[in-house]
Amino acid sequence: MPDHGHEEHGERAEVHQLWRIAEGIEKIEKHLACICKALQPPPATDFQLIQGEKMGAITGVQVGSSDFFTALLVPANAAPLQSGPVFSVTDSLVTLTPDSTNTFKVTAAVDASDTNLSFDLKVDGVNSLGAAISHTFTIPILQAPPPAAVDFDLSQGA
Amino acid sequence: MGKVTGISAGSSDLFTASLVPFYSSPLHSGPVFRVTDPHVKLSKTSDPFRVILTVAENSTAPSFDLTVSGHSADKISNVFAIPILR
Repeated sequence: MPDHGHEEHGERAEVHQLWRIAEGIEKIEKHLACICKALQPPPATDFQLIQGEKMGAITGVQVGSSDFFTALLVPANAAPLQSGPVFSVTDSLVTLTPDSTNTFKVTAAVDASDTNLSFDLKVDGVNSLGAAISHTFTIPILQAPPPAAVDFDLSQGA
Repeated sequence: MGKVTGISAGSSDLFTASLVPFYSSPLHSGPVFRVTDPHVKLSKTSDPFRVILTVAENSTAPSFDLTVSGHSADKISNVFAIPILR
């Protein structure tokens, strides 16, 4: 005569074990989701701007000359933008020329007749979450240095 | 300060050099004043652009040369003929 009690007990134990395995898998799934989230780059929240070949702080552009500027995402490990960056200036005597290979780089040329002390360079973009980010940087316009002396004059008396 | 008119023999006067153009950047060195006439004494002042020139009483020359030189982008120099008045 078969022992139904023992058989039933064995099946229940197996089901219980399967439940425990399923719970374990669920926990692993949750942990993996957290790890994936932590590994994803954060969205950009702002722009930083650097000037020139040496990629240094903004020092300004001398009147009648030009220099290039490079926008950087903040934080540095931010996810790529959905769109942008777009550079703009309001000073009509400042001309912007985008770089042909680097969309984060632009050259600003200040006309020799510009008498402003600075111009605003605005950088706009849309981050990886679809939020608009923007930063306006004030770029000093540097006056041309005085010319070198070419001669002496002489005067007499106190 | 005015135009160079000259110095009477036996007297002295102050001379001031200035840069051309007047809004030039500062010199790298100078100015240096020099006279070759042994009857003319050159005295420095606290202002490097000013000198006092004294002409000896026994000077007989009609004028003497004052050379001013300095270093800007290039070396610059000018020679001024100063009349000796009698």
